[in-house]
Amino acid sequence: MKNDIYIIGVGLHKFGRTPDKTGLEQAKSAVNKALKDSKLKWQDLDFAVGGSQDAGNADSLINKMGATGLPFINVFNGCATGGSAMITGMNSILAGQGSLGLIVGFDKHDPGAFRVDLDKWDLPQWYGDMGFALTTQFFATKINRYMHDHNISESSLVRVAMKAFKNGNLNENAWRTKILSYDDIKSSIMINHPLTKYMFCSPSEGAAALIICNEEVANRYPSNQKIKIKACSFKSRREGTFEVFQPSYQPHMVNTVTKDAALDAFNKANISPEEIDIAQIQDTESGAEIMHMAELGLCEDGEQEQLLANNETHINGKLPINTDGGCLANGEPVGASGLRQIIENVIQLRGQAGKRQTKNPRLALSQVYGAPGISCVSILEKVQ
Amino acid sequence: MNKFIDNKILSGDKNQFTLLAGHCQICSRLYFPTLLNCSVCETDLKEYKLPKKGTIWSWTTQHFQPKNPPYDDKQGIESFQPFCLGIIDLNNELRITAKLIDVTTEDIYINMPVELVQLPFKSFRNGNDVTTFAFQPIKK
Repeated sequence: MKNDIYIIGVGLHKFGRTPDKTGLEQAKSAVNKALKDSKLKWQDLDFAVGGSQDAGNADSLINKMGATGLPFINVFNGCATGGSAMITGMNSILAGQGSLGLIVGFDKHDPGAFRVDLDKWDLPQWYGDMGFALTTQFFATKINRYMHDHNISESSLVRVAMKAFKNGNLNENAWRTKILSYDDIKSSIMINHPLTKYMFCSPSEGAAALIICNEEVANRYPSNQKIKIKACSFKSRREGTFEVFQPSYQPHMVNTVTKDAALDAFNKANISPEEIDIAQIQDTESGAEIMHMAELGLCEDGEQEQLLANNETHINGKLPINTDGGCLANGEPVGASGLRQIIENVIQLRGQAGKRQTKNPRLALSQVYGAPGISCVSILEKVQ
Repeated sequence: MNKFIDNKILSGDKNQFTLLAGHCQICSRLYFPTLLNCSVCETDLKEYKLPKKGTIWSWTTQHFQPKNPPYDDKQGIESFQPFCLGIIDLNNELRITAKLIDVTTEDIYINMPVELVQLPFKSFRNGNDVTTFAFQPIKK
Protein backbone atom coordinates (compact mmCIF):
# COMPACT_ATOMS: atom_id res chain seq x y z
CA MET A 1 0.00 0.00 0.00
CA LYS A 2 1.10 3.52 -0.76
CA ASN A 3 0.76 4.71 2.83
CA ASP A 4 2.61 1.82 4.47
CA ILE A 5 5.49 2.69 6.76
CA TYR A 6 8.46 0.43 7.42
CA ILE A 7 11.24 0.08 9.97
CA ILE A 8 14.55 -0.42 8.18
CA GLY A 9 17.06 0.13 10.98
CA VAL A 10 17.26 -0.41 14.72
CA GLY A 11 19.86 0.38 17.36
CA LEU A 12 19.95 -0.09 21.11
CA HIS A 13 22.33 1.11 23.78
CA LYS A 14 22.51 -1.38 26.64
CA PHE A 15 19.93 -0.76 29.37
CA GLY A 16 20.86 -0.60 33.05
CA ARG A 17 23.53 1.63 34.49
CA THR A 18 26.28 3.23 32.36
CA PRO A 19 27.99 5.67 34.76
CA ASP A 20 30.58 6.87 32.25
CA LYS A 21 28.05 7.98 29.62
CA THR A 22 25.39 10.68 29.68
CA GLY A 23 21.93 9.88 28.38
CA LEU A 24 22.64 11.85 25.20
CA GLU A 25 25.85 9.87 24.62
CA GLN A 26 23.89 6.64 25.00
CA ALA A 27 21.36 8.03 22.50
CA LYS A 28 24.16 8.84 20.05
CA SER A 29 25.39 5.27 20.28
CA ALA A 30 21.89 3.89 19.60
CA VAL A 31 21.39 6.28 16.66
CA ASN A 32 24.71 5.29 15.10
CA LYS A 33 23.80 1.61 15.39
CA ALA A 34 20.41 2.22 13.75
CA LEU A 35 22.03 4.20 10.92
CA LYS A 36 24.59 1.45 10.40
CA ASP A 37 21.86 -1.20 10.44
CA SER A 38 20.03 0.65 7.65
CA LYS A 39 23.27 1.57 5.80
CA LEU A 40 22.44 5.25 6.05
CA LYS A 41 24.20 8.41 7.16
CA TRP A 42 22.88 11.10 9.51
CA GLN A 43 22.75 13.43 6.48
CA ASP A 44 20.28 11.11 4.74
CA LEU A 45 17.52 11.72 7.30
CA ASP A 46 14.58 13.99 6.45
CA PHE A 47 13.45 14.49 10.06
CA ALA A 48 13.89 13.21 13.60
CA VAL A 49 11.59 12.75 16.59
CA GLY A 50 12.90 12.07 20.08
CA GLY A 51 12.10 12.12 23.76
CA SER A 52 13.64 11.85 27.21
CA GLN A 53 12.42 12.66 30.70
CA ASP A 54 15.62 13.18 32.68
CA ALA A 55 18.54 13.07 30.25
CA GLY A 56 18.24 16.25 28.22
CA ASN A 57 16.42 17.61 25.20
CA ALA A 58 16.38 15.06 22.41
CA ASP A 59 17.19 17.67 19.76
CA SER A 60 20.49 18.42 21.54
CA LEU A 61 21.64 15.30 19.68
CA ILE A 62 22.33 17.55 16.69
CA ASN A 63 25.40 18.78 18.60
CA LYS A 64 26.72 15.24 18.64
CA MET A 65 25.46 13.99 15.28
CA GLY A 66 25.76 17.05 13.05
CA ALA A 67 23.96 20.35 12.64
CA THR A 68 22.47 19.63 9.24
CA GLY A 69 19.32 21.72 9.51
CA LEU A 70 17.32 18.55 10.16
CA PRO A 71 13.86 19.23 11.64
CA PHE A 72 14.04 17.53 15.06
CA ILE A 73 10.86 17.39 17.14
CA ASN A 74 10.95 16.67 20.88
CA VAL A 75 8.07 14.69 22.37
CA PHE A 76 7.26 13.63 25.90
CA ASN A 77 4.43 11.52 27.30
CA GLY A 78 5.80 10.01 30.52
CA CYS A 79 6.43 6.27 30.38
CA ALA A 80 4.71 6.12 26.98
CA THR A 81 7.15 8.55 25.32
CA GLY A 82 8.43 5.83 22.96
CA GLY A 83 4.88 5.42 21.67
CA SER A 84 4.33 9.10 21.08
CA ALA A 85 7.71 9.41 19.31
CA MET A 86 6.77 6.51 17.06
CA ILE A 87 3.35 7.82 16.10
CA THR A 88 4.67 11.36 15.59
CA GLY A 89 7.32 10.00 13.23
CA MET A 90 4.75 7.98 11.29
CA ASN A 91 2.46 11.00 11.01
CA SER A 92 5.40 13.09 9.78
CA ILE A 93 5.87 10.71 6.87
CA LEU A 94 2.14 10.61 6.13
CA ALA A 95 2.00 14.42 6.23
CA GLY A 96 4.82 14.73 3.72
CA GLN A 97 7.57 15.95 6.06
CA GLY A 98 9.88 13.47 4.39
CA SER A 99 10.32 9.86 3.42
CA LEU A 100 12.97 8.82 5.96
CA GLY A 101 13.09 9.64 9.64
CA LEU A 102 14.74 8.83 12.95
CA ILE A 103 12.83 7.91 16.10
CA VAL A 104 14.94 8.04 19.25
CA GLY A 105 14.30 7.70 22.97
CA PHE A 106 16.73 7.72 25.87
CA ASP A 107 16.93 8.33 29.58
CA LYS A 108 19.06 8.26 32.67
CA HIS A 109 17.14 8.18 35.95
CA ASP A 110 18.26 8.36 39.56
CA PRO A 111 17.94 5.10 41.50
CA GLY A 112 14.68 4.49 43.36
CA ALA A 113 11.07 5.23 42.50
CA PHE A 114 10.36 8.17 40.20
CA ARG A 115 10.20 11.54 41.93
CA VAL A 116 6.88 13.04 40.95
CA ASP A 117 6.46 16.74 40.17
CA LEU A 118 2.85 17.29 41.30
CA ASP A 119 2.28 20.41 39.20
CA LYS A 120 3.39 18.66 36.03
CA TRP A 121 0.83 15.92 36.57
CA ASP A 122 -1.92 18.30 37.76
CA LEU A 123 -2.04 16.70 41.21
CA PRO A 124 -2.92 18.48 44.48
CA GLN A 125 -0.25 19.08 47.12
CA TRP A 126 -1.98 16.97 49.81
CA TYR A 127 -1.91 13.96 47.48
CA GLY A 128 1.88 14.17 47.40
CA ASP A 129 2.23 15.15 51.08
CA MET A 130 0.34 12.06 52.18
CA GLY A 131 2.47 9.72 50.08
CA PHE A 132 0.07 8.83 47.26
CA ALA A 133 2.06 10.18 44.29
CA LEU A 134 3.62 6.82 43.48
CA THR A 135 2.90 4.83 40.35
CA THR A 136 3.71 1.65 42.27
CA GLN A 137 0.61 2.06 44.47
CA PHE A 138 -1.62 2.35 41.44
CA PHE A 139 -0.33 -0.89 39.92
CA ALA A 140 -0.61 -2.66 43.28
CA THR A 141 -4.23 -1.64 43.88
CA LYS A 142 -5.13 -2.46 40.29
CA ILE A 143 -3.69 -5.99 40.42
CA ASN A 144 -5.06 -6.63 43.92
CA ARG A 145 -8.59 -5.95 42.67
CA TYR A 146 -7.94 -7.91 39.46
CA MET A 147 -6.71 -10.94 41.41
CA HIS A 148 -9.89 -10.76 43.52
CA ASP A 149 -12.19 -10.48 40.49
CA HIS A 150 -10.50 -13.05 38.24
CA ASN A 151 -8.96 -15.63 40.58
CA ILE A 152 -5.33 -14.85 39.85
CA SER A 153 -2.97 -16.16 42.53
CA GLU A 154 0.31 -14.86 43.85
CA SER A 155 2.10 -17.66 41.97
CA SER A 156 1.21 -15.96 38.67
CA LEU A 157 2.91 -12.77 39.85
CA VAL A 158 6.02 -14.78 40.69
CA ARG A 159 5.98 -16.64 37.37
CA VAL A 160 5.91 -13.43 35.31
CA ALA A 161 9.02 -12.18 37.10
CA MET A 162 10.79 -15.56 36.81
CA LYS A 163 10.26 -15.54 33.06
CA ALA A 164 11.46 -11.93 32.76
CA PHE A 165 14.81 -12.66 34.40
CA LYS A 166 15.17 -15.92 32.47
CA ASN A 167 14.74 -13.99 29.20
CA GLY A 168 16.96 -11.17 30.46
CA ASN A 169 19.67 -13.77 30.96
CA LEU A 170 19.56 -14.44 27.19
CA ASN A 171 19.79 -10.76 26.28
CA GLU A 172 23.20 -9.06 26.20
CA ASN A 173 21.52 -5.63 26.30
CA ALA A 174 19.47 -6.34 29.44
CA TRP A 175 20.24 -4.93 32.89
CA ARG A 176 19.15 -7.74 35.22
CA THR A 177 20.47 -10.97 33.80
CA LYS A 178 20.59 -13.15 36.89
CA ILE A 179 18.08 -15.99 36.91
CA LEU A 180 15.99 -15.87 40.09
CA SER A 181 14.14 -18.76 41.70
CA TYR A 182 10.47 -18.83 42.67
CA ASP A 183 11.43 -18.31 46.31
CA ASP A 184 13.92 -15.52 45.55
CA ILE A 185 11.06 -13.52 44.04
CA LYS A 186 8.28 -14.51 46.42
CA SER A 187 10.32 -13.86 49.53
CA SER A 188 12.01 -10.64 48.45
CA ILE A 189 10.92 -7.59 50.45
CA MET A 190 7.36 -6.36 50.10
CA ILE A 191 7.08 -3.04 48.25
CA ASN A 192 3.35 -2.54 47.75
CA HIS A 193 1.19 -5.54 48.65
CA PRO A 194 0.92 -7.98 46.83
CA LEU A 195 4.04 -6.94 44.91
CA THR A 196 7.54 -7.72 46.15
CA LYS A 197 10.83 -6.12 45.12
CA TYR A 198 11.62 -8.46 42.22
CA MET A 199 8.10 -8.10 40.80
CA PHE A 200 8.82 -4.42 40.09
CA CYS A 201 10.93 -2.82 37.41
CA SER A 202 13.22 0.05 38.36
CA PRO A 203 13.96 3.32 36.63
CA SER A 204 17.23 2.78 34.73
CA GLU A 205 19.24 4.10 31.77
CA GLY A 206 19.39 3.28 28.11
CA ALA A 207 18.64 4.41 24.58
CA ALA A 208 16.79 3.07 21.56
CA ALA A 209 16.63 4.29 17.96
CA LEU A 210 14.66 3.30 14.88
CA ILE A 211 14.80 4.40 11.26
CA ILE A 212 11.41 4.51 9.58
CA CYS A 213 10.56 5.19 5.96
CA ASN A 214 7.83 5.11 3.35
CA GLU A 215 7.21 2.33 0.85
CA GLU A 216 9.35 3.93 -1.86
CA VAL A 217 12.48 3.95 0.32
CA ALA A 218 11.65 0.53 1.77
CA ASN A 219 11.68 -0.94 -1.74
CA ARG A 220 15.46 -0.43 -1.79
CA TYR A 221 15.87 -2.87 1.10
CA PRO A 222 15.76 -6.67 1.07
CA SER A 223 12.59 -8.22 2.53
CA ASN A 224 14.42 -9.74 5.51
CA GLN A 225 15.59 -6.26 6.59
CA LYS A 226 12.40 -4.19 6.50
CA ILE A 227 9.51 -4.67 8.88
CA LYS A 228 6.10 -3.21 8.15
CA ILE A 229 4.28 -1.13 10.76
CA LYS A 230 0.87 -2.67 10.33
CA ALA A 231 -0.82 -0.35 12.84
CA CYS A 232 -0.05 2.02 15.67
CA SER A 233 -2.64 3.51 17.99
CA PHE A 234 -2.08 6.03 20.75
CA LYS A 235 -4.91 6.78 23.20
CA SER A 236 -5.46 8.66 26.43
CA ARG A 237 -7.87 7.51 29.12
CA ARG A 238 -11.58 8.09 28.99
CA GLU A 239 -13.76 9.13 31.90
CA GLY A 240 -14.56 6.15 34.09
CA THR A 241 -11.29 4.26 33.83
CA PHE A 242 -8.97 3.28 36.66
CA GLU A 243 -5.62 4.75 35.64
CA VAL A 244 -2.49 6.06 37.32
CA PHE A 245 -2.31 9.43 39.19
CA GLN A 246 -5.96 10.16 39.81
CA PRO A 247 -7.11 11.27 43.30
CA SER A 248 -10.63 10.05 42.49
CA TYR A 249 -12.40 7.75 40.05
CA GLN A 250 -15.88 7.48 38.63
CA PRO A 251 -17.35 4.15 39.79
CA HIS A 252 -18.96 3.43 36.44
CA MET A 253 -16.12 1.84 34.55
CA VAL A 254 -15.50 1.82 30.83
CA ASN A 255 -12.73 0.14 28.80
CA THR A 256 -9.22 0.82 30.04
CA VAL A 257 -7.06 2.99 27.82
CA THR A 258 -5.01 -0.06 26.80
CA LYS A 259 -8.18 -1.87 25.71
CA ASP A 260 -9.16 1.18 23.66
CA ALA A 261 -5.75 1.43 22.00
CA ALA A 262 -5.66 -2.31 21.27
CA LEU A 263 -9.13 -2.38 19.71
CA ASP A 264 -8.17 0.55 17.49
CA ALA A 265 -4.84 -1.02 16.48
CA PHE A 266 -6.43 -4.39 15.62
CA ASN A 267 -9.10 -2.57 13.67
CA LYS A 268 -6.52 -0.57 11.69
CA ALA A 269 -4.42 -3.70 11.07
CA ASN A 270 -7.53 -5.67 10.14
CA ILE A 271 -6.39 -8.69 12.13
CA SER A 272 -7.62 -10.40 15.29
CA PRO A 273 -5.64 -10.81 18.54
CA GLU A 274 -5.40 -14.59 17.98
CA GLU A 275 -3.12 -13.93 15.00
CA ILE A 276 -0.43 -12.29 17.15
CA ASP A 277 2.67 -14.49 17.42
CA ILE A 278 4.70 -12.57 20.03
CA ALA A 279 4.12 -9.56 22.27
CA GLN A 280 6.18 -7.04 24.21
CA ILE A 281 3.88 -5.50 26.80
CA GLN A 282 4.22 -2.99 29.61
CA ASP A 283 5.37 -4.88 32.69
CA THR A 284 6.03 -2.07 35.12
CA GLU A 285 5.42 -4.87 37.58
CA SER A 286 4.34 -8.50 37.24
CA GLY A 287 0.66 -7.67 37.61
CA ALA A 288 0.71 -5.16 34.76
CA GLU A 289 1.83 -7.86 32.33
CA ILE A 290 -0.99 -10.14 33.51
CA MET A 291 -3.70 -7.48 33.23
CA HIS A 292 -2.42 -6.06 29.94
CA MET A 293 -2.51 -9.55 28.37
CA ALA A 294 -6.29 -9.54 28.75
CA GLU A 295 -6.74 -5.83 28.00
CA LEU A 296 -4.91 -6.37 24.70
CA GLY A 297 -7.24 -9.24 23.84
CA LEU A 298 -4.43 -11.81 23.93
CA CYS A 299 -6.38 -13.92 26.45
CA GLU A 300 -9.55 -13.85 28.53
CA ASP A 301 -9.64 -12.36 32.02
CA GLY A 302 -8.49 -15.07 34.41
CA GLU A 303 -6.99 -17.27 31.71
CA GLN A 304 -3.53 -15.95 32.59
CA GLU A 305 -3.27 -18.24 35.62
CA GLN A 306 -3.26 -21.35 33.44
CA LEU A 307 -1.17 -19.82 30.64
CA LEU A 308 1.54 -18.87 33.13
CA ALA A 309 1.42 -22.19 34.96
CA ASN A 310 2.00 -23.93 31.61
CA ASN A 311 4.84 -21.56 30.62
CA GLU A 312 2.88 -20.56 27.51
CA THR A 313 4.32 -17.04 27.58
CA HIS A 314 7.93 -18.31 27.60
CA ILE A 315 10.07 -18.07 24.47
CA ASN A 316 9.08 -21.61 23.44
CA GLY A 317 5.43 -21.22 24.47
CA LYS A 318 2.26 -20.63 22.50
CA LEU A 319 2.43 -16.84 22.99
CA PRO A 320 5.90 -15.58 23.94
CA ILE A 321 5.69 -12.33 25.94
CA ASN A 322 8.49 -9.91 26.76
CA THR A 323 11.10 -12.03 25.05
CA ASP A 324 13.91 -9.58 25.90
CA GLY A 325 13.06 -9.61 29.62
CA GLY A 326 10.67 -6.65 29.46
CA CYS A 327 10.84 -3.74 31.86
CA LEU A 328 11.50 -6.14 34.74
CA ALA A 329 14.88 -7.22 33.34
CA ASN A 330 15.72 -4.04 31.42
CA GLY A 331 14.52 -1.42 33.84
CA GLU A 332 12.58 1.54 32.59
CA PRO A 333 14.37 4.51 31.06
CA VAL A 334 11.04 6.09 30.16
CA GLY A 335 12.12 7.82 26.95
CA ALA A 336 13.55 4.59 25.54
CA SER A 337 11.29 1.89 26.97
CA GLY A 338 8.53 1.82 24.35
CA LEU A 339 11.09 1.80 21.52
CA ARG A 340 13.02 -1.06 23.14
CA GLN A 341 9.85 -3.15 22.83
CA ILE A 342 9.49 -2.31 19.14
CA ILE A 343 13.17 -3.08 18.49
CA GLU A 344 12.80 -6.49 20.15
CA ASN A 345 9.85 -7.21 17.87
CA VAL A 346 11.85 -6.13 14.80
CA ILE A 347 14.75 -8.40 15.79
CA GLN A 348 12.39 -11.31 16.45
CA LEU A 349 10.55 -10.84 13.14
CA ARG A 350 13.86 -10.66 11.27
CA GLY A 351 14.96 -13.87 12.99
CA GLN A 352 18.03 -12.21 14.54
CA ALA A 353 17.27 -12.82 18.22
CA GLY A 354 19.82 -15.60 18.66
CA LYS A 355 19.35 -17.56 21.89
CA ARG A 356 15.98 -15.97 22.57
CA GLN A 357 14.60 -16.36 19.03
CA THR A 358 10.94 -17.39 18.94
CA LYS A 359 9.63 -19.77 16.31
CA ASN A 360 9.13 -17.95 13.01
CA PRO A 361 6.89 -15.07 14.14
CA ARG A 362 4.96 -13.08 11.52
CA LEU A 363 2.91 -10.63 13.60
CA ALA A 364 4.27 -8.91 16.70
CA LEU A 365 2.51 -6.58 19.11
CA SER A 366 3.91 -4.04 21.54
CA GLN A 367 2.19 -1.93 24.19
CA VAL A 368 3.55 0.88 26.31
CA TYR A 369 1.61 2.48 29.16
CA GLY A 370 2.13 5.63 31.18
CA ALA A 371 0.68 8.39 33.33
CA PRO A 372 -1.87 9.96 33.32
CA GLY A 373 -3.49 7.00 31.58
CA ILE A 374 -2.08 6.75 28.08
CA SER A 375 -1.36 3.67 26.05
CA CYS A 376 0.23 3.03 22.67
CA VAL A 377 -0.20 -0.27 20.84
CA SER A 378 1.83 -1.13 17.74
CA ILE A 379 1.53 -4.13 15.46
CA LEU A 380 4.47 -5.06 13.23
CA GLU A 381 4.46 -7.50 10.35
CA LYS A 382 7.22 -9.45 8.69
CA VAL A 383 7.29 -8.78 4.95
CA GLN A 384 6.83 -12.08 3.13
CA MET B 1 -5.89 25.59 66.76
CA ASN B 2 -6.53 22.79 64.32
CA LYS B 3 -6.03 23.14 60.59
CA PHE B 4 -6.93 20.82 57.73
CA ILE B 5 -4.34 19.66 55.19
CA ASP B 6 -6.42 21.38 52.49
CA ASN B 7 -9.66 23.31 53.10
CA LYS B 8 -10.76 22.51 49.57
CA ILE B 9 -11.22 18.85 50.47
CA LEU B 10 -12.11 18.91 54.18
CA SER B 11 -14.48 21.01 56.25
CA GLY B 12 -15.90 21.00 59.75
CA ASP B 13 -14.37 20.70 63.20
CA LYS B 14 -13.00 18.04 65.52
CA ASN B 15 -16.36 16.36 66.05
CA GLN B 16 -18.15 16.85 62.78
CA PHE B 17 -16.29 16.86 59.49
CA THR B 18 -16.67 15.80 55.89
CA LEU B 19 -14.83 15.35 52.65
CA LEU B 20 -15.82 17.92 50.06
CA ALA B 21 -16.34 17.33 46.38
CA GLY B 22 -17.70 19.54 43.63
CA HIS B 23 -21.09 18.64 42.15
CA CYS B 24 -22.37 19.67 38.74
CA GLN B 25 -26.07 20.39 38.95
CA ILE B 26 -26.58 19.81 35.26
CA CYS B 27 -24.87 16.44 34.64
CA SER B 28 -24.48 15.31 38.31
CA ARG B 29 -20.76 14.62 37.92
CA LEU B 30 -18.70 14.69 41.10
CA TYR B 31 -15.15 16.04 41.24
CA PHE B 32 -12.68 15.32 44.03
CA PRO B 33 -10.84 17.55 44.56
CA THR B 34 -13.29 20.07 43.17
CA LEU B 35 -12.53 22.13 40.06
CA LEU B 36 -13.50 25.67 39.09
CA ASN B 37 -16.26 24.32 36.90
CA CYS B 38 -17.56 21.11 35.33
CA SER B 39 -15.20 19.92 32.62
CA VAL B 40 -18.17 18.81 30.51
CA CYS B 41 -20.92 21.40 31.17
CA GLU B 42 -18.56 24.29 32.04
CA THR B 43 -20.96 25.42 34.79
CA ASP B 44 -19.96 26.28 38.37
CA LEU B 45 -19.72 23.34 40.74
CA LYS B 46 -21.67 23.25 44.00
CA GLU B 47 -20.00 22.12 47.21
CA TYR B 48 -21.00 18.54 47.93
CA LYS B 49 -20.42 16.53 51.09
CA LEU B 50 -19.21 13.05 50.21
CA PRO B 51 -20.62 10.02 52.07
CA LYS B 52 -18.68 9.25 55.24
CA LYS B 53 -19.04 5.51 54.84
CA GLY B 54 -17.83 3.31 52.05
CA THR B 55 -16.22 0.02 51.15
CA ILE B 56 -12.68 -0.88 50.14
CA TRP B 57 -12.64 -1.31 46.34
CA SER B 58 -8.99 -2.27 46.45
CA TRP B 59 -6.04 -1.76 48.74
CA THR B 60 -2.27 -1.97 49.02
CA THR B 61 0.53 -1.09 51.39
CA GLN B 62 3.31 1.46 51.21
CA HIS B 63 6.43 -0.21 52.58
CA PHE B 64 9.12 2.26 51.56
CA GLN B 65 9.35 5.94 52.38
CA PRO B 66 8.33 7.96 49.31
CA LYS B 67 10.76 10.59 48.07
CA ASN B 68 10.55 14.14 49.40
CA PRO B 69 9.33 16.14 47.58
CA PRO B 70 6.50 15.52 47.01
CA TYR B 71 6.11 13.33 50.12
CA ASP B 72 6.07 15.35 53.34
CA ASP B 73 8.71 13.52 55.36
CA LYS B 74 8.46 15.82 58.37
CA GLN B 75 5.07 14.64 59.53
CA GLY B 76 6.27 13.90 63.04
CA ILE B 77 9.29 13.02 65.11
CA GLU B 78 8.84 9.33 64.42
CA SER B 79 10.50 7.76 61.42
CA PHE B 80 8.50 6.55 58.43
CA GLN B 81 6.12 3.70 59.20
CA PRO B 82 4.67 1.52 56.42
CA PHE B 83 0.96 2.16 55.96
CA CYS B 84 -2.11 0.72 54.25
CA LEU B 85 -4.06 2.68 51.67
CA GLY B 86 -7.06 1.94 49.58
CA ILE B 87 -9.39 3.00 46.85
CA ILE B 88 -12.60 3.65 48.78
CA ASP B 89 -15.93 3.30 47.04
CA LEU B 90 -18.25 5.94 48.53
CA ASN B 91 -21.74 4.60 48.06
CA ASN B 92 -21.11 4.09 44.35
CA GLU B 93 -20.90 7.88 43.95
CA LEU B 94 -17.14 8.25 43.69
CA ARG B 95 -13.97 6.29 44.48
CA ILE B 96 -11.12 8.06 46.22
CA THR B 97 -7.60 7.22 47.33
CA ALA B 98 -7.20 7.28 51.12
CA LYS B 99 -5.02 6.09 53.93
CA LEU B 100 -6.42 3.17 55.95
CA ILE B 101 -5.90 2.96 59.70
CA ASP B 102 -6.62 0.30 62.34
CA VAL B 103 -6.16 -2.47 59.80
CA THR B 104 -3.48 -5.08 59.18
CA THR B 105 -2.70 -6.94 55.99
CA GLU B 106 -4.20 -10.01 57.68
CA ASP B 107 -7.62 -8.59 58.44
CA ILE B 108 -8.14 -6.16 55.56
CA TYR B 109 -10.24 -7.35 52.60
CA ILE B 110 -11.85 -6.08 49.40
CA ASN B 111 -15.42 -4.84 50.06
CA MET B 112 -14.64 -4.24 53.76
CA PRO B 113 -16.97 -1.49 55.16
CA VAL B 114 -15.00 1.57 56.30
CA GLU B 115 -15.76 5.04 57.67
CA LEU B 116 -14.12 8.44 57.46
CA VAL B 117 -11.97 9.57 60.40
CA GLN B 118 -9.67 12.48 61.16
CA LEU B 119 -5.99 11.74 61.30
CA PRO B 120 -3.31 13.97 62.81
CA PHE B 121 -0.95 14.76 59.95
CA LYS B 122 1.60 17.12 61.41
CA SER B 123 2.12 18.83 64.75
CA PHE B 124 3.92 22.07 65.48
CA ARG B 125 5.30 23.42 68.76
CA ASN B 126 2.96 26.40 68.58
CA GLY B 127 0.01 24.02 68.57
CA ASN B 128 -1.05 24.73 65.00
CA ASP B 129 -1.57 21.07 64.23
CA VAL B 130 -2.56 19.89 60.76
CA THR B 131 -5.25 17.25 60.33
CA THR B 132 -5.93 15.02 57.36
CA PHE B 133 -8.37 12.23 56.60
CA ALA B 134 -8.28 8.45 56.64
CA PHE B 135 -10.70 5.56 56.68
CA GLN B 136 -11.01 2.84 59.33
CA PRO B 137 -13.10 -0.32 59.62
CA ILE B 138 -16.62 0.35 60.89
CA LYS B 139 -16.73 -0.84 64.50
CA LYS B 140 -19.51 -3.31 65.13
